[in-house]
Amino acid sequence: MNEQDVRKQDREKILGGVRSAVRKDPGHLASVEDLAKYWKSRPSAPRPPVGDDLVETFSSRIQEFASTVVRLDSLEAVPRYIAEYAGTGEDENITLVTGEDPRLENLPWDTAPEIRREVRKAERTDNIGLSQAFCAVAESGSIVLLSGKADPTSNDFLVDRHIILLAEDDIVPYHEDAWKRIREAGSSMPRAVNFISGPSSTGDVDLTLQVGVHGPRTLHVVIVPSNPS
Amino acid sequence: MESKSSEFLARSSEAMRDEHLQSVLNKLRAGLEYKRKAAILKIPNFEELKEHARAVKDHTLANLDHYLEEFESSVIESGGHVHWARTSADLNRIALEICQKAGALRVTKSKSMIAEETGLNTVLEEAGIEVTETDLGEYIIQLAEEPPSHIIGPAIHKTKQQVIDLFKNHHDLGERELESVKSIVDEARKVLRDKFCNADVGITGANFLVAETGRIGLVTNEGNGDLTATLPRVHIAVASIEKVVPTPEDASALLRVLVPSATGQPITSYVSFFGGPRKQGDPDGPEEFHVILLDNNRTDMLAGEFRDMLRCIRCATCLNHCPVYTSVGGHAYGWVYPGPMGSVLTPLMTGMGKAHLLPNACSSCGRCEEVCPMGVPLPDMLRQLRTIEREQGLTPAGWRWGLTAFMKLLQHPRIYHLGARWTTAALKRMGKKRGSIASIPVGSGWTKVRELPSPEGRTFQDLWRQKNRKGASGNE
Ligand code: SF4
Repeated sequence: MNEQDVRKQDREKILGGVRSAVRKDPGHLASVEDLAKYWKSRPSAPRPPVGDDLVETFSSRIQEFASTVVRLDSLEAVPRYIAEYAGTGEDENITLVTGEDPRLENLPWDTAPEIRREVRKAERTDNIGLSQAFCAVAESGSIVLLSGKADPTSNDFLVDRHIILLAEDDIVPYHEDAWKRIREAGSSMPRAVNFISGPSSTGDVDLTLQVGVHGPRTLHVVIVPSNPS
Repeated sequence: MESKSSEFLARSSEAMRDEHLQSVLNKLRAGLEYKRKAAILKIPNFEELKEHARAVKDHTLANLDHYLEEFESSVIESGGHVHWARTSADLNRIALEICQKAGALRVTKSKSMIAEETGLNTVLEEAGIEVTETDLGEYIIQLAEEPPSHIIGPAIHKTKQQVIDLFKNHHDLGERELESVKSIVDEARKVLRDKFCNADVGITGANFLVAETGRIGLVTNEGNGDLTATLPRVHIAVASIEKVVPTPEDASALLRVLVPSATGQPITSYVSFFGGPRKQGDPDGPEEFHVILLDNNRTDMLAGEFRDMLRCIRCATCLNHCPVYTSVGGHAYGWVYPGPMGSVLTPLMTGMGKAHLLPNACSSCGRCEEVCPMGVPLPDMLRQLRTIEREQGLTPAGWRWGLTAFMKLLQHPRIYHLGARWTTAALKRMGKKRGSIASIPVGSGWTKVRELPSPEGRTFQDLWRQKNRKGASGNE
């Protein structure tokens, strides 16, 4: 028997074992039609309460754990704000790594000449990265980021300080709402969907919570009013 | 991993005498219990969320054949590969083949209990591949060459000083001193960054396998899983078959009960879903994506009386609340899964012969079931395993003899009451004014480590009878 056959046989043995284990189960739905019916009639999941003010709920929940949030009055104010936030006070240049995101492209960067924007994938030595959130979830205070040109996954995990821009309208109440948006956004899932709710942290030494282990040491969310469309 | 569960009694006695370990366990007991409780109090409908999570898992298990096949075809559709491993050895062989085909010299790993179960690291290392654990806890125990002692905090048994000493021995620190937790974490960050960026293959576990999308879900605070799944050329995820859920929304529903139970957080810093190789136009991500599905006796569990155990989502809250686990720690159990869930899983996976003592490491207090977010009936299953132990003649002779004698005694209530009355009176006399007894002939196991409080002098039965008599006369 060749390798391919052995593999097929192992697959069949596992699936065969599973099949005979569940066949007589009262909850087992043997036909595709029965399963389809189950999914049609399945009640939606219970959810914890989130309150009406989604921006408020989101901000307070994400700040419960070591992240910081600021609200700006306009999108135009973003470059200047980042220059102040990331600057050291001395007149040095600030290197800011971003993905190829048209939403970031259109910001008035000329108002912050000290920022040197590098549009690329982040490398291990990069200090500050900027991403724009795909959406955010109020329920758990989570930012949702999708892999791709606009925000390579490296940019979310390799930089020391991660700044995330979030439009007010992109805050949804529940994880289910985020999944709905992701499904609607493209014909197929991006390779990575990341729910980010704080900076990288660990409790592995002495049961003490320490921020900044492998990923970003700080997470700063900038909430802006949504674009008038 | 090889099982040392048959040494439970010796190992647990040793653990009780280990001062370092006891200091850590005290901290664990106080910390995690409180955090979980505080987190759950903030969620008014937690019970409802739990019930739903359980229903999701029950439905999935009852239709596991369907969802496994759906998962497989979704992975293939997104350009990945699925491999089926019946045993630990099969999983290790498949993973090694993938690594060798990729010409891998260096592998980074994020925490995976499945890889611990199969002993994957040893197999890869024996083939000359450098394996680096990247979860800080796993990294620490890798340096110490020890197995994990807790399913989510693998190095929970190590004190800060012990970690500093390990780093001193294994890292080139030069003149630098490590003192604070921050300095330790910074040092690990520096060393592990190199490993992340130079690895050929990244191996992760999976908290969920999402059937509809062919994605694996990773729940971490460190972000090491994300770097492991993103930077190397090849990503291999290893997971057991019961990790599958139908949809991403179902994964979210499980998350709502998993994280508060596990760490007392509302959610971890990172919850990530990965699948397939990098897409066209993606600037990063692996070129190959593989999932290896492990059975290792799980189909037997699915078919038999221990199916409920497959609902377990590895939150570890039953460990944190177990009076036995929090007294002896994880290593006493001798294999990869400790505490109540481990005392059920270990005999089912490694065989009753080696692990039959573990189901006895239980005071039947019922806390594990009370706190388990998935309603796993752990005490019932432990009792059932003890029955099997007895049926197979594995119960040690002394215990068997003692239990038989006790059973006989209980069948003769008069003799039992008489005996209880005498013993109670005798113990009261022994305790005298001190109110406690420093040593008794047959109870040295107890009195060696603490004093036995002496009884009031009369049995419960006597007091009850007296009270009823009084009550009856009062009514006249
Ligand atoms: S048995 Fe329950 S409490 Fe224990 S780890 Fe599994 S899900 Fe958590």
